[in-house]
Amino acid sequence: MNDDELHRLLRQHPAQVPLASSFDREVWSRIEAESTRTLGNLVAELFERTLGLFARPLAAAMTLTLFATGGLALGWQWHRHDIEEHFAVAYQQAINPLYRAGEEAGR
Amino acid sequence: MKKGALILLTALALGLCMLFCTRLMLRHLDTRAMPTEHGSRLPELSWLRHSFKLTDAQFEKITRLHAAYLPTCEKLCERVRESDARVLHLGLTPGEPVSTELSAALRERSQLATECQEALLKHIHEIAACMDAQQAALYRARMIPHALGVSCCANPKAHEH
Repeated sequence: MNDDELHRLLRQHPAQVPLASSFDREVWSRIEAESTRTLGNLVAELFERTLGLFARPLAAAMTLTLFATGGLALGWQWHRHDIEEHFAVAYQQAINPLYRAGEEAGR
Repeated sequence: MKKGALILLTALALGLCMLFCTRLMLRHLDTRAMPTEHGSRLPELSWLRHSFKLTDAQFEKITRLHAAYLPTCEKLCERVRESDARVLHLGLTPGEPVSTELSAALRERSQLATECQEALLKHIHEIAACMDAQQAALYRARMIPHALGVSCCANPKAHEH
């Protein structure tokens, strides 16, 4: 079947697809937005697309796992730092007679 | 987009929750497991070993020096307590705001504080002498501000200008 024939057939049987009432308005607003592209628009679009990525099941699962693991690791590091500080201060206090005298008097 | 934002916010909340829960849980476990009394010197010395990556020989030497210093520290501590009690007693005695006795006791107290700082500095330098140059520099940088009672953030280079 050559192209002319296909074209004629398609013209004879137009598809009857019901369109939403807002279809034309949305199409025109997109055309307008495309024609007036600013940096702000681009950033907003990029932001929208990035957020859209998180909605995919695999990306969502990976994001949740990543944040949970990150929180766990940071919590562990924070605790290790606290322990280090605790013993550092305890050592400093143990060898400082002025601090020890004050501490024992306070008991 | 809304779904994506919701997932991102949930992930953020989950991460924060994990951060604080881990810290709280570990702190709870550690306070039960480890001695916190300053009388128990083992954890403090273990910190020194771990933090400055001391060798066995260095650690043994430092432990000996630490044990030898403790009676001196105890004696000074006892003298400070007595001096504090005397200063407090004289300060609370009705009469002149600063009596001759109180003035003498305060002078004695500050002399004693100097003596304590000198003993502590001497001990710090003895400990540092058991370490290699890099360890000793780190140890002194950490301990000397504490011994002198000055902020570790005070920058000595600031006085050069």
